[in-house]
Amino acid sequence: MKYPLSLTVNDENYDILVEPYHTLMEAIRDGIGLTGTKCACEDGRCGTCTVLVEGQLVKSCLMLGLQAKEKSVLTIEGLGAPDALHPLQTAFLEHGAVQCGYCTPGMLLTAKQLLDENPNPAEEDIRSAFVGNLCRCGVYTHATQAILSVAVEKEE
Amino acid sequence: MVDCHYLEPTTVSEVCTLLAEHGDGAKVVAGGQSLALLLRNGLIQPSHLISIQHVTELEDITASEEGVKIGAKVTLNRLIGIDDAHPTLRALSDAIKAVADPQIRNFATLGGAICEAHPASDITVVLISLNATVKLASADGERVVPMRDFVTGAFATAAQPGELLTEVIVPSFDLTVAAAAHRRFVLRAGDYPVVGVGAFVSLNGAGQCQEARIVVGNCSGAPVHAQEAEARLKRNNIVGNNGVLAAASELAAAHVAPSSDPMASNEYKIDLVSVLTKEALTEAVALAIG
Repeated sequence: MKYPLSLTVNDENYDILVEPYHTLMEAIRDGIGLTGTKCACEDGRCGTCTVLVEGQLVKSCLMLGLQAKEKSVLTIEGLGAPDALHPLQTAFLEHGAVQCGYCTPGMLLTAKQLLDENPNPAEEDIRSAFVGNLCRCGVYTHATQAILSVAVEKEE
Repeated sequence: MVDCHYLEPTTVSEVCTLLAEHGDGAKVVAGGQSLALLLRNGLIQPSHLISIQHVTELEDITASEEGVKIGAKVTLNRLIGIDDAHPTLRALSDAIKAVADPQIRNFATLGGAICEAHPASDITVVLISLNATVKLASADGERVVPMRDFVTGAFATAAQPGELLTEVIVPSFDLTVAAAAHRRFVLRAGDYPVVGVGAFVSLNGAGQCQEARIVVGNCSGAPVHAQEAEARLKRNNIVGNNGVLAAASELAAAHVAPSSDPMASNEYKIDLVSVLTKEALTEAVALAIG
């Protein structure tokens, strides 16, 4: 049976109905209609569906929608807007850290969380932060450089 | 998909009442990191999902003379670095650093990882090597089960319908003469290991081994104690004695009978058991002599 789910996504309140076995990813994509959160492996491996729940990174295909009840979620749509990109989005573009783009929403949210916790990460910190975000185009080096550039800007 | 109900109790006793009421059709959801997959793939079709998200009494970590008690809902990321406050948990913290990835560790719980009973679980291997026990609560009361008896096979545990794992207890040991270490071999970062080995040794004043536990993961349904290898170490001088550590490692490899899988052949796994046991024992001995 369906249950009401109230949650905040990117500072907007939503009230939807979900089955207990629906994942947060399904709630975000199918229930709310925000498709920036990508669905790829649906197996908890690839990290394309990464979002932030109450400031904590999670793979939204591994969390039940109802577990996010009354919680605040940040998806890629809330990180920046096409006319007002987040500094990380600008840096990813400038460094060519995007190829097919499917992993990008998840990578950007992982990068945001990393910089929130550690504003001046070493290259190794960045690489280990990406353990849960698979990119099969192989943009890791460019993404690492992009994140380092944002960290340096913040420092200046 | 069968009709499924979602319940949100706030205390252990409420959870136990609900589990007793709904029987085997009820499944407990903690972090959901394993359960969400099983649900979506249709591998389980519970009539009731009992979320313990709001059961805050399962989130404590406390130390006593008996040992360190870890609430079942403590997340894996919280356990990384926990050895600063509780040094006997060093091997556990070390092993968890390599489990899955930051996203999963944020929500995955210790109790959930144990109850999943994955044959390759590093967490299970380390806890057995540390002689840990788990506490199970039900409407009938509580019981304590050693970890080595709790995991009974691949994805199978000794928990009965109606029981909730509430706590993990890692017994105290004298850090000046004893230590645990863990080694794993993995093909891809974040995956379950091909083989994992947990080792624990304690020494007497003469450098002889008093206690030894060697636990091997992913070579059968449940982790196994390499008993012949443990016996080879006991009462022998193991400090600076490479020969006896190598002999024990060979015995550990001889003890297991893994099957081949797409990740590795059985011969390869047996070789890994020998190499990883030697490394884990060497580290444990080095830490034990401080």
